Amino acid sequence: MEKDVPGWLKLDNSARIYPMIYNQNGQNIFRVSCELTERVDPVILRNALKDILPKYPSFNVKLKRGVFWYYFEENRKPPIIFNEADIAADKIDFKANNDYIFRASYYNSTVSLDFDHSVTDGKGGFEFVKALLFRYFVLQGHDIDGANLVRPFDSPPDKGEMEDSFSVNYKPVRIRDVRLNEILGRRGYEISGVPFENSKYGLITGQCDISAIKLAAKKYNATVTEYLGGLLMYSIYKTNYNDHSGKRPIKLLIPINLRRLFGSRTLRNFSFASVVEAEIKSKDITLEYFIGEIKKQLTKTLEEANLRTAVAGIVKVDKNFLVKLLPLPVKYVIFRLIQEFIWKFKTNTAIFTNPGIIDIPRTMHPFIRQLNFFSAPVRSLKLNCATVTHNGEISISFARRCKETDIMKFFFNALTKEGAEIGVVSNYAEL
Amino acid sequence: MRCYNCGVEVRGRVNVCPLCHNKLEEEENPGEDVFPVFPKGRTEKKISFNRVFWFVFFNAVSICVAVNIIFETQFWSMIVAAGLIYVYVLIKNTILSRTEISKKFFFQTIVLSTIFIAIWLAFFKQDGYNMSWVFEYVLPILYAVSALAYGILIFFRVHNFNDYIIYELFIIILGVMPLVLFFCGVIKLGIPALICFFVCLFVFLSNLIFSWKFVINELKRRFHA
Ligand SMILES: [Zn+2]
Repeated sequence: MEKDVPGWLKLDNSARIYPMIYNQNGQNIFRVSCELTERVDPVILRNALKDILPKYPSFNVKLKRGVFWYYFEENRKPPIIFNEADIAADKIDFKANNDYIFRASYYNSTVSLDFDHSVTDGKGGFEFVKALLFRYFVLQGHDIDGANLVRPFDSPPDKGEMEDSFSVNYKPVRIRDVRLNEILGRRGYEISGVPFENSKYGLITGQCDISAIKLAAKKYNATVTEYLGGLLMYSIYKTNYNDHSGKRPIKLLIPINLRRLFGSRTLRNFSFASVVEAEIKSKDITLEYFIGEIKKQLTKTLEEANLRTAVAGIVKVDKNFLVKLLPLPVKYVIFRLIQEFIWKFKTNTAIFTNPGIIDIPRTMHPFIRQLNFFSAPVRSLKLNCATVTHNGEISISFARRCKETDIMKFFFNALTKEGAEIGVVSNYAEL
Repeated sequence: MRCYNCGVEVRGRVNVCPLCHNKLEEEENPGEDVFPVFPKGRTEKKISFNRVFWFVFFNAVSICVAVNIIFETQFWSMIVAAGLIYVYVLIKNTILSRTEISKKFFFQTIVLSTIFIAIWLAFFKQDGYNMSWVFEYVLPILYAVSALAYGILIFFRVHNFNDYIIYELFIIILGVMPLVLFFCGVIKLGIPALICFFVCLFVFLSNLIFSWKFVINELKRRFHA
């Protein structure tokens, strides 16, 4: 790290508990990957990664145990590039990865970065991959231009990219403003099916032109997020929902990127998981109903006051005197218990992530075929749907814990009926 | 390849539709896979070190216990058990493990002193055994060597030396204990304890003089709230 950068970082406020819930729930990993137009050269990729790491100190770290909290310390070991075939969606083995908390790998023409959620969120992950690929193409000898979308290589690390925006934007709120049952919510419907053995999970990605989706969304007077999120809920309702008592609502987690609202350019976590809850009251619910629920509830969450309260709620826990001063092993036990006995009852049905359009410099476009994004499903969240759009092409990835593919089949069939021409790939974990 | 059932294009070399699992007509030029097809049967179990160890352990210990009972001798079988457990810890957590050396070294120091204190606890009340050597010799030597080793590594700024600081400080605190025991009258022979104390003091002073900034920084990180 550079002179004026301290050799260590506190974990950001939303990430502080992640390392404590590793084993039970599976690591909280998401993957950002990029299909190139040519085969990946691992040697150049490694050099590119080595070059940019010192410029992005919040990624150049290892996880260490303090007395009260985990923290990040500068990692001086060289990064490793894995061949995807050797790791195949395994957890990140920090030790085998030279202590890095994100893992870089390649397979044929695809470059993939798996991030542990303690380092960053989807948006931060894409920014890092963009910087990595920019350097990769430069090292390959291509003449490309960052055009203000990639920080120049010779610039010093940016403090704004390393800030914990939760702490920076924290304004205390009164306790009664944050209600416990609002945080916990009701227990949602849990997707049923035959689970994979071990830590296997199924992965299906569909790619198509965004204009077809936009057209379909317009029919319902909705945004792409509202439409796809609604369609996901509808697909679950149509193919999987079997709670005839109708007691369990379908709950969809939708992470919201807070950077724009708070004017932050941090590359660490700065998003808030909002929950959309759809009651299942009758037997013939339509797609419009789900889209409407998402629209209504997201609009409410997105109101500035509500988001500020949400940020305060996340920070407040860590600022609590008692939580602060409990030694790490005690915290560990407490968070585990909370997870076993409380989080269990706030099951969310699925997660839908849409970091939107990723601004990639024009000159890089000829070398990039498509961006992909997904997060690994964990025990408490069995279905993950993540989308990302690049150059007019949207990629929709489903990662699932159950073998059945009905939900995805219904989902993509619905898009096909709307006129979308979809290309599908799978890891065929169920075969 | 096209699945006419779902109306989607399927990419990759597996000629099955990912959505409906219909067999598709193979194409001549299927294109590259985007991700590796999930490796099958990665669950096969090797004969693990754990299994072998516990097999040997239970057999050896039960034979020793049997011999103990038959010949009504002292219960030395417990020492065999303790020794084997130490071997287990040594292999599992020190030789096979990929943790940092700083931690392994600390761990060994702690495990060894625990074992010797356990031996002392088991025998000191029995007639004919003078067990004070545990505190008079073993622990002072153990802590002095350990503190000195950490001190040297930190002084020469070996790779990741700041990781060593917290362990070194802990050993230094332990290193003062034998002298305390001497002044409390628990042990009679004070020379090794005194030497250990001075080694620790020396190491601590060298920290103060040469590595103060690093020590403070490390403490700040470890104790941040
Ligand atoms: Zn099909």
